[in-house]
Amino acid sequence: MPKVYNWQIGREMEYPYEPGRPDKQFSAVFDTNKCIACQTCSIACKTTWTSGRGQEYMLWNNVESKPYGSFPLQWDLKVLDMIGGASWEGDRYVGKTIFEKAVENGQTVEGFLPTLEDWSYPNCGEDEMAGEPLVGGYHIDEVAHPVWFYYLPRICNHCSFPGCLANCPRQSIYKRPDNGIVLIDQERCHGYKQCVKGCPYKKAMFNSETGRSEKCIGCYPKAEAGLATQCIEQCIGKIRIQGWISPPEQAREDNPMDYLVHVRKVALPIYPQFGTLPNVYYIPPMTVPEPFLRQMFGPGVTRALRIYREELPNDPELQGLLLLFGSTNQIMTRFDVRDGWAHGYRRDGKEVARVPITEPLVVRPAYDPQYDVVRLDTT
Amino acid sequence: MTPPSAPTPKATPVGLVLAAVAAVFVLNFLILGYSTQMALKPAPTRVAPPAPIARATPAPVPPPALLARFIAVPPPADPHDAAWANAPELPVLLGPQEVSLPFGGGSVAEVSLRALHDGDTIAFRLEWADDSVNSARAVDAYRDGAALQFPLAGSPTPPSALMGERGKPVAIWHWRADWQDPAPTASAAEATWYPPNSELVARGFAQPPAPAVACVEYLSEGWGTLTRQPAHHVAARGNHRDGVWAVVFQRPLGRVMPHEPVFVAGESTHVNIAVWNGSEGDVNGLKSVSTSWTPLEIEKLPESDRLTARYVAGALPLDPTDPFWAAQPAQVVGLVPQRLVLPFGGGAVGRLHFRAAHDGRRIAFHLQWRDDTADMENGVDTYRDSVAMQFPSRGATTMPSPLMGERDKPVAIWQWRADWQAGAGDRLRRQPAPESLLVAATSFDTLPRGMFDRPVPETSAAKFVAAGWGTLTRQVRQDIAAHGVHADGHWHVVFVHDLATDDPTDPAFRPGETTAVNFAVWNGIAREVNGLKSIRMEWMPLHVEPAPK
Repeated sequence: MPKVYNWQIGREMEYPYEPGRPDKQFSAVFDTNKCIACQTCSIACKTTWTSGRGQEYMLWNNVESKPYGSFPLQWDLKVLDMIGGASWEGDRYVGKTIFEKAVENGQTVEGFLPTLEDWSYPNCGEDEMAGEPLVGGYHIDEVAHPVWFYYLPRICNHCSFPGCLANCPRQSIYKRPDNGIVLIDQERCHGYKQCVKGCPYKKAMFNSETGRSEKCIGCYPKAEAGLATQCIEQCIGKIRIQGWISPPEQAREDNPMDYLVHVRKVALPIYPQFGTLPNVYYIPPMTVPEPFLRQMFGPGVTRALRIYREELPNDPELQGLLLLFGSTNQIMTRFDVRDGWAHGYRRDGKEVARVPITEPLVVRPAYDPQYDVVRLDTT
Repeated sequence: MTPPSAPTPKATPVGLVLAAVAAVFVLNFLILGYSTQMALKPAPTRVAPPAPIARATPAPVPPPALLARFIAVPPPADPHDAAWANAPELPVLLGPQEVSLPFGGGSVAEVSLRALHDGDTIAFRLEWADDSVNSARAVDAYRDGAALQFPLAGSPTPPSALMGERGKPVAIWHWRADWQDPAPTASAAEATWYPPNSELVARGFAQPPAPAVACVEYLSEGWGTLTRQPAHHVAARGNHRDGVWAVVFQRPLGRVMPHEPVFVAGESTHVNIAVWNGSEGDVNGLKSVSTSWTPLEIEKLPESDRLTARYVAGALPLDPTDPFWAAQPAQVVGLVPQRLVLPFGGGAVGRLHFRAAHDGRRIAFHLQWRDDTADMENGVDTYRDSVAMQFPSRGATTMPSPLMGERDKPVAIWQWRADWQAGAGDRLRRQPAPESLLVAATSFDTLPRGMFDRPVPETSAAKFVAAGWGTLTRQVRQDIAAHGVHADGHWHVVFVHDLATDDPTDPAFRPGETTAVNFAVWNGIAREVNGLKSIRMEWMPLHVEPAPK
């Protein structure tokens, strides 16, 4: 099997195909600290792409509560269990990826096929808290809360080494060379469900009406036009930003994706230990105890949390970039922060977003001398 | 003998935790298992210690093998049926179990083992001496029982003969006398005073699915890991006569679930035996057992060496139940699991019955195989039954690989699928929680049509061309008719096609000449799809009888 270098696990690993890098790689960063699980993203995707028969159960975009929520049920814990837990030595992953574990068992990709029931409870575990029991008069004064949960919005990660692609016996799945979006060729797909089994994030889904598997298409018609996906554009919490990510050695400081992932390293891959090199990154929730986050986002959590908690308040550049999240429906390829304003630019250099670091504050006095009235804030 | 599966302690946290778990496990076994034994065993009735027991001698090398002989009729379920005389008898020496606590058993020194198969069903017969029948469910007594153990397919070397090992599971079929003849039911009055907790009984770990089955199937990966299979396909029946127990276990030759042993005619596997004697207080690890596997050879099917498409004058019926087909002689085709390319597997169907006829213009094939369930749904988590025939394409100048052809040597493949025949889905489509989500009924109505693997609406089969694995491509012209009927635990599928076409990817059927054919069968309930299938490793010659001038 060819050897490929996976920077997210700090080492080479085995993958069934030779590495090939697209011209640009689809990428996004989700700030979990801002997600309120309103599911606007899920509905934006659902009404756009999966409103047909056979797609009733599909949520290419879903938001689950962690630690108890999951769609399909227990997708992540099952895969973690199958690969035998996951251990790191520093930034180097020393456990097995889904590809390496599969070799032991005479398979291509280690994975499981969810049952019908597993797909039936997309809101399972919603808002359920982990940690100490709540008692009357409880007051939390630590940053990592002893009682916690958080929301995890998920789409296809358009991985650099996709598990779905590796497990397809018909080579029906491919990465688009122009944008790295992973697609299933509906003409070639023969409905073997091997991609459903092979994707550790369970973002390939079988359509029993057409007899083929489907997945998030990264809204590629919009990406071709330089526009963000439906789920990213419609996010009312402005927790998401889309862009093109570079390999770490080619990172550009003024590229929003590179800055968040490679330069400041506040945005982290989800379950990097699976080995697929996912291209959707997460700013981890700062209120959650670190051990759980290390399992989900890898050893970079310590640094990311420190920057978010301690450096962000005094870092106008990072503040500016976080404010550019959700500020435009166009894909920004460059940003800068000048004189208290953050600016975002698209591929041709045109400015597409401008936001102030500090919103102007207007204080309206209670007494209005012009009309000689006292204003009551009654609304 | 392979050491037990308990992990050795290592100087790592994981190793220590595992070691601690193992230690607790062993302690539990010691405290609970052993003290329960002591408490329940009716000591006063055991007046005399058991007679010294002949120990099992070390297995000779190579150990004698059990031959599962082929017979033309279904193997009998009755242990005293005369047909068992056809099966060669193999004595297997047993000894006490003395590897894992509780040590003991060993009162049964020898069993006689026989096996038969008819290509569809395999049956094993165990016989051992036991003066008493112990079949009562009682608070102070144990019951007679016997178990067969098989490695699962996929292990290059068999796992530990003593209940398998971690990562190398074994299948165990357990028959018990009390399951077969449960204690007399309570009187109506007693049932009123103490209503049976039928829910608890039905869900109990150690209960067969029905009294008539009397057997429970388990998986095991070492001591203490015995786990009940989700479904059961083995039937067992015992009979005690003249101080001898005789028990017959029966199962379809092909496996029905993914984690079941695979029996392939013409190939070998292993079997091990354990016997419990209720009058000796045998239960759990107190049993008579062989410490090594007995090799099991499954006799090859008497296959046809050449298939024939007979010339007939008259209609070739598409209906598989038409009397025309019963009048045609059936030829036997043996199948094996697909083991050449990932995903290795399949093997749920070991044999096809083949019939073929042509009328000089059209050719028809009738395929029949055992499958107890009709799996018609290709859903989110289900698979469908299917059969395919493969022929060298007329355009192949030399014989292509029998395994889906090769580059520049294409093969023609005709596939029938139960879900295609079942229709466009509405009747069989299951969806997770569909009522809670938005559905537009019409938006994808056009998608299913004309897509890659859908056959034309009026048929249930599709024609493909392939030139190696992963190259399966739908032919432009879909001039194939096929129809399947599921009856009496068998699928019957008929394909009808023109004898000659002008498409060079089609097979060449020339009356008076011989071409070749291969087969693939998928069993949906065994989760077979893609490369998980039963096939032939070589072409089978197919002679097309000459048509009269």
